[in-house]
Amino acid sequence: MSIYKIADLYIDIDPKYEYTKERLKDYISDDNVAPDFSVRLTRDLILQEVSYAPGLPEPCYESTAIYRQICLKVLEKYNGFFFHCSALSVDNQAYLFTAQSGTGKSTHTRIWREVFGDKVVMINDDKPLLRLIDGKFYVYGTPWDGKHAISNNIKVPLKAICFLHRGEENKISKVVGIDHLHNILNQTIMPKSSTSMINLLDILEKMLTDIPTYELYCNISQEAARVSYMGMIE
Amino acid sequence: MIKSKEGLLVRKFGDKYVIVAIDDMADEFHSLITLNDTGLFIWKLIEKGTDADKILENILSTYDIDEETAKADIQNFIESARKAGILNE
Repeated sequence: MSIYKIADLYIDIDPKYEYTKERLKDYISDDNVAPDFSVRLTRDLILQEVSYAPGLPEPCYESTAIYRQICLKVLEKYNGFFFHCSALSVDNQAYLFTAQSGTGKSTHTRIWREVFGDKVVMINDDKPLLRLIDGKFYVYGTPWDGKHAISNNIKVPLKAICFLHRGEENKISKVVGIDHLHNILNQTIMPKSSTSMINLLDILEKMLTDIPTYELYCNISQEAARVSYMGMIE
Repeated sequence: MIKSKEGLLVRKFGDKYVIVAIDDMADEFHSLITLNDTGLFIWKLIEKGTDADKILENILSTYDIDEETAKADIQNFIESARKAGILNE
């Protein structure tokens, strides 16, 4: 077993496969502290992953099963949740781009890197964790960082959330966050326990009230990144 | 007789209410339903078990609304809840 530090939590994980160990290696912790919680997989948890996405190599299931358990624990006890999005940081402020898979989240944030260069630090291209700490939201890099494996082990205050759509032209507008709960729920892991579900709704109510949210229609051009950035920087 | 299925959680969200699924129901219902105040009123009756006529009676005695509109609203509500698969009938 090893202790990993993910989203400011010490987590005891016991990965069996090299694939998973490799993925987790940047998050291993040498701090000599007791873990906040442990993750141990059962055969049932692996089979659950298989049922969600059949036909993958076995080590993938270990990795996703571990992350699912972490996400559920974070939601249950540590005021946080998993959000499927491409998350980047500019001037230490986090911008989150979310959409159904295949819309072009990663493409859009890649264009930000092209246009703004070193100003842009990727937090996580696919599966960051968010936490609410002392009334403020933070976005954390995690080892689960999408097919291009773009992430950094950092913590950045949340600045804005952007719902991304494909469009002919580039257009961004501010929306009433609280009306977009479904867009967030579609991109997170829904817990089964009522306490965790209540935690999730409470956190999301605060997030969608406090954090500016936007709807972006964009094409694949450098102008898309400029319009997006200018619309959200305020 | 219409009654809500087990495992549905109603929670205030902003100035509205939402219904989400928990426990085993979470495997069936992945979506959410948003309710306004009248929707919540109807849902509370459905949680206890009721029928369309009783809902109408309750609505008419509580809200200032004409019977035709109320009937249509109730029918719409039941229809969407039925489609969402959250009713036992």
